Order: sequence, then C-alpha cells, then structure tokens
Amino acid sequence: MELQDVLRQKFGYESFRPGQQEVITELLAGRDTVAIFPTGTGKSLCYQLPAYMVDGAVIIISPLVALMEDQVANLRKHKEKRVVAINSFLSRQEKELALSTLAHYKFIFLSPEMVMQQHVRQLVQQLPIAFFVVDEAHCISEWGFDFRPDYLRLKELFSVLERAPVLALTATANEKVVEDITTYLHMRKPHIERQSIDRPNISYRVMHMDNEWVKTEWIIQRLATTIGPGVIYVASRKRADELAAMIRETGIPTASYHGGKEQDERSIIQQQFVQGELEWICATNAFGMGIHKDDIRQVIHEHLPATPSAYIQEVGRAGRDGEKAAATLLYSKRDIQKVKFIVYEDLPDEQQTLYYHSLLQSETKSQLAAEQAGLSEVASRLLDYYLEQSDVENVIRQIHQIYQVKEKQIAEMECYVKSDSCLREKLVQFFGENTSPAEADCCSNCQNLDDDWLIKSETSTEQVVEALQWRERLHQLLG
Amino acid sequence: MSFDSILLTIFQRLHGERSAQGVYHILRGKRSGQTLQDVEYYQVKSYYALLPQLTAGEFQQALERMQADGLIYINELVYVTAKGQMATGSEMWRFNGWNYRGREREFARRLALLVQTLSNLRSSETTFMPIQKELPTQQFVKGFLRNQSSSMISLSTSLRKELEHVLTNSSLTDLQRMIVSSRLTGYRLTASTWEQMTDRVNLPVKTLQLYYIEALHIMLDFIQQRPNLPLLTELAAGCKVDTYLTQSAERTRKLFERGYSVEQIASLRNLKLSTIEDHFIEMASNMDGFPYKDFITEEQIDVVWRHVEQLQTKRLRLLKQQCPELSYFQLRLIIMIGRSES
Ligand SMILES: Nc1ncnc2c1ncn2[C@@H]1O[C@H](COP(=O)(O)OP(=O)(O)OP(=O)(O)O)[C@@H](O)[C@H]1O
Ligand SMILES: [Mg+2]
Ligand SMILES: [Zn+2]
Repeated sequence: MELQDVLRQKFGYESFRPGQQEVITELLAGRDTVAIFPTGTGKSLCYQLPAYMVDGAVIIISPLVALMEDQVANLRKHKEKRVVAINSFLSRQEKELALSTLAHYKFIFLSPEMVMQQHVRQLVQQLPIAFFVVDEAHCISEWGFDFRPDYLRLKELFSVLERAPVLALTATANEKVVEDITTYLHMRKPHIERQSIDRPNISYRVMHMDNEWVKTEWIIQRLATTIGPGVIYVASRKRADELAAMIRETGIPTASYHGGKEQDERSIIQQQFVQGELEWICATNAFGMGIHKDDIRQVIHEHLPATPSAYIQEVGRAGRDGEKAAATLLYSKRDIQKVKFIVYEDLPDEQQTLYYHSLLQSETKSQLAAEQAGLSEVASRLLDYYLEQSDVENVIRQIHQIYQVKEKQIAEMECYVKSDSCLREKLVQFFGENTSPAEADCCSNCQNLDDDWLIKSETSTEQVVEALQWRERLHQLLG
Repeated sequence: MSFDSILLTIFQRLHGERSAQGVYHILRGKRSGQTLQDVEYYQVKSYYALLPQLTAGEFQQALERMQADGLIYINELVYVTAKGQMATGSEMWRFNGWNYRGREREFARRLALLVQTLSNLRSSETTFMPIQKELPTQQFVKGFLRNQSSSMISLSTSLRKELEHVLTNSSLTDLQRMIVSSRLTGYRLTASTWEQMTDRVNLPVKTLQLYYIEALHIMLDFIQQRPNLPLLTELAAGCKVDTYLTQSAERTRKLFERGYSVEQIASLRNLKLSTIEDHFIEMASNMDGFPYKDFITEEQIDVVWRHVEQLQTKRLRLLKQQCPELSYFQLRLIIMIGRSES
C-alpha cells in the first residue's frame, strides 16, 4: 500500500503535514531519524503510520505517564487494540500481566526507567522490533525538575551493533540538543528533519506588573472580558487551587489541575475541559503534554517558566486547530529570583556533593546520606547517577556545567521578558532559528496586535447549567 | 457528618484504652492480630479499612486540630472530652468497612467505566477517552461486555433500571443519590468533581467523600441481598471480602483442623507462640462455630465478664490482676467471644 492510502484509510487524513512524509520514508528505509516539529503538528503520526507498513513491534519510550496514557487512548481511538503501556504506576501484577503477554502487542509504551530494568530489557530485546521511538527526546539533554538519569542510560540499549532504527521526536531542540540526542541514542548518520518552531497563529505578549496582587487583578479582569478556553500556568499546586477558586467566584467555570489531585479527579477535569464544560484550567506544569484540546485560545503564565523550551511547550497547547491563539506572560521583578530558587534547590553545590560522597563512602545508606547533606530527591538522584559514572571531582565539574546551562536558560527567559524587540524572533532564536516579525498579530513589542477576536461577546455570558436530578441524569446517561 | 465525627466515634468506643496509632491502623485496615482484635473488642468493625489511603500526615493533622479544639485529650492514650462527646453528634454512620475494605472503590470504578461505555455506545459514539485508567478495571469491564448477549442499547437500559432500583430502594439519602449519580460520566455529560459538588451543596469535600463511601457500602449490601440485579451483581463480583483470615492464619487454621495443638503448630511452623495465638484470636473473630471450648470454660467466661462489668474496662492488664490463673491468651479469647449466652 502507498503511504497516502494508509494515511487516508487508517487515519482519515487527506494529506501529510510538512515533514511527516519525509520522516516516515527515511524511517522505513531503516535510517535513524530525528524529527523536530513544533508542538501539536503531528509527530505521533510519524511512528503510528509506518508501524502498519513493517512487521514487528514498535517500542515507544515516553517520559510521562499522562503522555503515555494519552497516546494509548489515541491509538485505541483509531481502532488499534494491540497497545500497552508499562510504567511505574502499574501494580506488580498488572506489570507482570503486561510483560507476560508482550508479544501480542504492536505498540509498546515504556518509561525509560522501565526499559532499563534488566528483565524488561531482555524481554523487549527478544521481540521482533520494527523500530524504536524516543518521544520528547529533548529530555535527554535537559536537567532539572524531571531529571531522568535513565534517559541517559538509554544509550546502553542503542549501542548494540544490530538494532532496529530509532526515531527521536521533539518540539524544541537547538543544535546542541540535537547533538546530545544523536550521541546519547547512538544514532548512525541520522536523518534530521526540522520544521520551524514558530507557530504563526500564536501571538505573544509580555506584561510587566508590580506585584502578584496586580497579576491576580489582571487575570480576573482578563477572564471577564476575553474568551477561553484557556490555561493559566502557575508556580505551585497551592496557587493553582487558590486562583481557580477565585475565578470560580466570578462565575466562570474553572478548575485546578496538578499532580496532587487523585487520578479520578484529573480524568474528570480533563474530560470536562475537552467537552467545553470547563472554560479555564489553572495548572502547574503537570498539565500539558498529553492533553488534546484543539481549540485552546489563550495560555497565560502567572510565573516565569525555567526554560524557553518549557515555555514553548506550554504555549504550544494553544491553537492546535490552526486558528488564532494568544500567549501572555505576566512578569514582575521578583520572578527571576523565584525561579532561580526553585531551580537551584534541585542542584547540589560543591560542599553538598563532597559531603554526600563521603557519607556514601562510609557506607551510609543513600537516602539517609541525602537527608544529612540536605539534598532534595532530584538532587540525590542526579548525584547517584553521576557518581556511578565517574569520580567526585569530575562530578562536581559536571554539576557545575549543568548549573551553567540552567543559568543560561534562566538568563534567556530574563532576556525574553525584558526584550523590547520582537518576541517571536527572540523566542525562536533560542533554538537557533531566524524569523521575521509577523505582518499582523505578532507580539506586544511589534505593537500590531488586534485583539478584537479575543473579546467576549455579550451573548457568550456564562449560562449556569442546573444540576440534573439524579433520576434524570441516569436516564440521560443510559436511556 | 465529617471525618472528625468518625474519629470521635471511634475514640469514644475505645474509651481511653488505645493510642491514636491504633485508630490509624483501624481506618487503614491493617491486618495485624492487634488491630483485628481491637475492631472486634470495641465494635468498630464497620470503620475498618474505611480509608486505606489515609496518610500519617493527614491523620496527625486531624488529631492536632481536634486537640486544639478541645475535643480530645492525648496522654499516650486518647480520651474524648465532654466537649468532644457533644460534638460527636448523634448521626449514625452506616458503613460496612469490614466487608469491603476499600474494594467498594473498585466497584465504583467499574460502574463509572461501564456507564461511560454504554452511554457512548448507545449514542453510536465508539471513540472516547476512558474515564478510568486502571488496567484491571478496564479489563474487567471489557470482559463484562464480552459476556453479554443482548444489544448495547438494551444492556444500557437494563443497567439504568437496576441502578434506579438500587438508588430508590436501598435507603440512601437524597444527598447520596445525588453524589452517586454525579460521579458518573457518559456521552456529552461529564461527572462532577468533588469541588463542584461542594459548591452546590455547601459541605466540605471530605464529608461528601465519606457519604459516598457509605453510599457504596449500602448499595453493595443491597445488591448482594437481591437476586433480581444480575448486572450489578456481576459488577460487584469480588468486592466483598470472601476470606476474612490472613494467609498465615489460614495455614494455622488448617493445621488446627488436622488436630495439632497451639504449641505444636508454633513449632511446626517455626513461629512464635504469640503469633499463633494471634491467629486463633483472628479465627475466633471471623469464624462461626470456632471451638472456643477447647481453650476456656463457660465458668471462666462468666467470671471474666463479671469483672468487665464491675471495672468498666476491657483492658487485659487489669483483668489479669483479677484472674491471675488465666493466661493473656485466654483472656483475649474471652473478650473476643463475648458474654456467654446463659
Ligand atoms: N496529516 C495530518 N492531517 C491532519 N491532522 C493531523 C495530521 N497529522 C496529525 N494530525 C493531528 O494533529 C494533532 C496533533 O498531533 P500530535 O499529538 O502527534 O502532536 P505532537 O507533534 O506530538 O505535539 P506535542 O509536541 O504537543 O506532543 C492530532 O490531533 C493529530 O490527529
Ligand atoms: Mg507528541
Ligand atoms: Zn513580534
């Protein structure tokens, strides 16, 4: 069958989006490939489609459970039953069950931690494999809150001589990150397919404010006058709950979403948002990857993200339907300090590193040692990984490098919020691209924003939906 | 009414004879001899394993708040103050924690996924995001649907009729009917979050969640007693505890059945005598017709219970002072079995 036919029959799309066909062709020719496409432009299809053109299983390594679940559900939507996701959230029995029936599946999603477990890895390597996929591959060269040493360990999986080709997917990768990806994944003469990171339908705004209180006022006012659906990114779980409650008071259906909520609640909120029952979500960075809502019109940041790549990812939730969308970053002077504090908290300094190391040398258990050295969980995980690889002086040097990378990323964000030239241009420059300001609806610095489309029309005022009586509700659900 | 009132109720039943930790174990459903014995002694079986997810932090917070409010007083053991007794309220909880031990939540998950599936299928919508992500739940519902012979539309109506019957006839309150139906998702109709329900009825989240658990217990009890609810009965399969004994106690029971004595079992299994005694206590609390007369006489039971009445306590140390000739094991057994019929 031709690629085109599979696209139409299996997925119901008329044509490929830019870059998709190239990636699929290279992959099918057995070549390692890196696909760098902006958020929401169809990276998943680059492995979903070719899967049907070759024998063997597709092994997808994915960093977040939510992301995995979403991809699984998405495949099932396209009538694919041979899908499984194995991650640390499964109980032992569930995991055993999944592993013992591995050969039945066409799409196998694994967290990096899982695939690096000896027996899992053996099981995987015994399978006939069509190709590997590493989703959100920029995680390989990103350190921080979700530092995943096992992403680096993946090289053990790929350094073997005879192996199926590898496809790495990411939305945000500059030259340095692409280099990290290709080295760590042991890619051989990879084909690199890059689409511009710029999303022309998104317009950018940076607003300077005196303090947090002014930000809150602005948000309340903004939501009263402009349209959703939208997402407000905030710095903490507590703040998400608090802000959502304040917005709800004004009569706009809003919920908070973060890792501290039960799974059931998160499913319900996600569903309500997708169905349009909720208009706004106040979220931590736990919300994002894996949420499919095509018509998000606004993304507002109440805090400063730690990296341009995180910012691009979060903003990238908006306007997936190709229609106009607005991104707004609210900035106040102390935000730089705040984000630095959060980021550096997870990085051990020289003294902590030396102390931790000496404790481990004297046979102190790693958890206790971490506690005594005052290390966060992330920090000790990071040290464990590096100390396993080399001596302590080297580790200090490496941590110092990470520190510099982090510092540079925060400096870039600072540069972004303080810039008085085109924001779009600035943002893509961090990823080694050039673009020129958009003719219209570009950014707050280009001063060509026309926000009429954002204004709420009188008729769209919230209608309070009366809660159904229980009996009616049952009838409506089940007939 | 609230989490606090549940804690107060339990503390009161234990009237100053147990530490807070003991209550924590009861709520989380710890399967140790001590906890199992406690729930029996103090008649708090219905609260057993009510909150398997309760964290030590949450529990500690509640204790501190109640102490600050002067409802309880902790001096190693927990005492309920006069103010606390007033605050307990007269509401009767109708939990059945002993029988379900957290498994009622699995029933709720299955129900939610089944309703969502049927609701979508009857509206010819075959693609939707499952509201339940747990693999075992998904597999259960898949298996359930595969076993049905009728069409999805008639299945959907039958399920609605069964649900309507249960909600109408099972002595739930109106609030509980609202909660149960609001937690169901379907075609173009999504469940409410706890926060949204809180806004609607003006009660704290935790309270609503407790009412929900109680409602699930009541529904499950009801379903079990009715033969005419085939779909819900199947959906409730395995949610009620079928063997009340821990695995280890079960092994002890088998040996005892084959005629071994307590001491022999201990040495055969290479376990401490006290552990085996714990197993017997567990058996006594869980099995009908446990042959307690192998260990104690009717007279001994009478004597001990007279002391219990007189001293107004079930604390073993005090009872042992009165009846030095009895072992602690015998005393525990007597308390566990209760007053003799005569
Ligand atoms: N060729 C195509 N034609 C039309 N729609 C497409 C095509 N390819 C993908 N899509 C749709 O585009 C949407 C986004 O796709 P996908 O989730 O793969 O994005 P992504 O690039 O992985 O984004 P992210 O970086 O956020 O993970 C999906 O709804 C998908 O069905
Ligand atoms: Mg993706
Ligand atoms: Zn611009």
